[in-house]
Amino acid sequence: MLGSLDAWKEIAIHFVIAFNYSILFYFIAVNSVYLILLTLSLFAFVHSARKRNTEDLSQVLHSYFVPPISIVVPAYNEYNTIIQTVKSLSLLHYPQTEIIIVNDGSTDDTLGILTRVFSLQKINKVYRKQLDTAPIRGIYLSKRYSNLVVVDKKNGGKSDAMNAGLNIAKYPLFCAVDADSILEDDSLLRVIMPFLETPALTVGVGGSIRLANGCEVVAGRVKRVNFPKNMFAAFQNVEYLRSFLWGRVGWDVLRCVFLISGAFAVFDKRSVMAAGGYHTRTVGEDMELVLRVHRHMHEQKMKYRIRFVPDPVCWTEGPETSGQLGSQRNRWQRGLMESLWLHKKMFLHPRYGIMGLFAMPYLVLIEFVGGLLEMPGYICIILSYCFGLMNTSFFISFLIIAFLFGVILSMGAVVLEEFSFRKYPSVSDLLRLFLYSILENFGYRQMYAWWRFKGTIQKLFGASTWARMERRGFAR
Amino acid sequence: MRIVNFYIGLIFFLGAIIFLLSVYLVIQRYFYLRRMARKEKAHKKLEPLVLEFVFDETIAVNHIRSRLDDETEFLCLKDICMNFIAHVQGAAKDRLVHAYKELGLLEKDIEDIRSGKWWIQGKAARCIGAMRMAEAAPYLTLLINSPRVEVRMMTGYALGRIGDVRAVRLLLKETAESGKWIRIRLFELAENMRDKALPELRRILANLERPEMISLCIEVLGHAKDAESAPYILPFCNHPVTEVRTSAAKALGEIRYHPARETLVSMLDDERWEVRALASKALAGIGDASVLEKLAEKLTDSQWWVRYNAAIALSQLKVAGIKKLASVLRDSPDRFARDIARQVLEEVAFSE
Repeated sequence: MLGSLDAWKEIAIHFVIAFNYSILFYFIAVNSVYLILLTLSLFAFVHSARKRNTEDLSQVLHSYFVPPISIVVPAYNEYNTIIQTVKSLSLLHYPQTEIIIVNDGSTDDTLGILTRVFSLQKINKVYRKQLDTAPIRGIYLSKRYSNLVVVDKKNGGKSDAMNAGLNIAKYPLFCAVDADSILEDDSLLRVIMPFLETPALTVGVGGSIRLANGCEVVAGRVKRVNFPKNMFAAFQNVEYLRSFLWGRVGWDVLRCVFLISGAFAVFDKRSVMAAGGYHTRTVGEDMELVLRVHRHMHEQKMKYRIRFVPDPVCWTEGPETSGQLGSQRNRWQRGLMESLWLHKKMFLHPRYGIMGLFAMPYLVLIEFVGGLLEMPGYICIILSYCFGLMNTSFFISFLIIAFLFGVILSMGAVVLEEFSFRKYPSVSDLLRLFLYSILENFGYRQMYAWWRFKGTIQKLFGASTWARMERRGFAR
Repeated sequence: MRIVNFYIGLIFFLGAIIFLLSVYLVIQRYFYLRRMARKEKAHKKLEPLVLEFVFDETIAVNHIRSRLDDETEFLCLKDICMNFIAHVQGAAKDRLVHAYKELGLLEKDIEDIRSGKWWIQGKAARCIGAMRMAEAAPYLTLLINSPRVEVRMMTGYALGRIGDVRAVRLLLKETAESGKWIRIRLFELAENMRDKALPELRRILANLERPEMISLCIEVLGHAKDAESAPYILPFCNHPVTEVRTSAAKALGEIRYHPARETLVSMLDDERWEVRALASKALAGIGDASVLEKLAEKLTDSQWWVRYNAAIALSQLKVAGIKKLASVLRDSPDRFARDIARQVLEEVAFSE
């Protein structure tokens, strides 16, 4: 009996040591990829700063040849923000747009307030059902805003609402915008650039998302950018900088952008339609769509590009409590897993080019497996130390190195921000950015790892809810 | 022990990187704020001076020159001129251009053209174009064969602004590489030097072979609403490439070239729906009662865009067209024709 206990103990020790090694390899792999992305994005930023000398946005603004855009805004119970959103979208600097609000069976008075404020009138517009959606209850035009169309439909979720918007959209490009987001005035002009440079190749472009928490918002415009006072929003701020300024820019250089945020994305309508529109049974519809468009284009053997450009900015409200943030991250993790499962065929398949050979393995091994490894990894390393399986110098060194690496990567994003956009004008904001990029390593990252772990487990055991975030709204 | 030393070394190395990054950030921000403050001060000082000079003919350029203290102010002066040039007209514009030259800003642009750095060359070409500095044309020629498409595009823009007809060919040559930018630039050029650019485009059109270049040429001529170009465009209505036929139909509609009516009616039966849709749209501008029946037939087309454009075209043919739509809505056995007629009639009523 005692002998078998010893054997079990030995097996457990071997298991823990093997697990520790896998954590170490994971750590090295993640940080190597991140370092590569950071380096690539540094070059990309230098190039785009130079290129800006030869661009003139005013020419685009006044040109007849700029493709018109249908802005599609899915709205579910957006009574508090929808009017502000429409007004803000109608003031965007862009030659020709139509704004399509899709009221996705709201249970509040979203449609009522739209009808009253914009003098909507129901018309018998032909609804071309190119993509399947929940039944349409009515299509309305505004007497006050000639480019505003409101579609009222039964509830079917965000993707379903987007598909309904695409069925109605009349222009060749569409821009997906969340109802609670604020686009900067010139964001459409900037995001359209890849479509102007390579119109035959570009099928989708994403812009940066920034947190509007703490910012001064007046009449649907971000008037003054402030660093958020709320701790969770501040941590997310650093995280968003990292994700958008070097993460996606780096992926763009590698030509495998696998995610364009649903809060602000412009797509070629025909390509999205051909790929089948938005998938209605996933909580990560934005990533799923991008992966599907990649897959479709590769399978059709068509040359294409999906781009990310960092300068067009969309401001959005981030969660300010750990509960809301946790459920958001949990949903993101589940969305990632669903997208990966739906497109598992692309994993390591040479037919899908760099997407199949590099981006998909990254998503699977680092983003998905990372969600499973990271949290148990923290626990396992601490236990290994406590049970004497790891010597003190290695334990302490590993923790310090992991911490320093994290700080360097975050600071890389802050440096890129300082080098390019400088959205935070005051020195105190800069110092706070710096401070939070250090502090996030003590608690926040571990919480994030827990949310990811929880999301992964929940998905594996079948949960698929979309917890709604309580919005405070921007209106002042 | 050796491993421990390695860890300690790595920690120090990473720590040093963080330290250096933070020092860099602080220093960078400090200098940025200082630079901004100096720039703001220079703008505050120079803007009134430039405005005064531009609107008061008694003031000499030396009035500005004597007040320039350093390189920052010199560069700010350039920004100020570039900002003002879009907002002033007539004599004031001439005086601003004169000041630009006399203050040595043109010389700086020419120096930048020779710099060998593409982003500086592109910016210099942009400034020269904005200021319409004809004397810089020989220097711009140096950039025509630049390896960077951005520089070649900006050179085309600048040459166009100063009225050099070589810009037309230069820009057309870039069609394949520059996407829609080329359209924007070429159209701007056609507007700026209409008398020189349009005849040149017509001449080029007759000898073009690449379909994308033909399409672009036709699009620009069409959008310039140049009636003289219509006979040159008409033969392209039978071109084998769809894009060329659609551009031709669109352009003829924009020009409102009545002799093209029969050709456009025949294009309503084109095998490609894009051509049929654009021919319908074009007929809205130049059609009359004789095309009513043909357009009404297209309300039963298999493609939504053809049906929609035909219905819109009918609605634009005044009372006869509206009556036709109403009769289709009332009597047509085709559900799609009735639906599109209803939608367009409602849209017409709504817009009125």
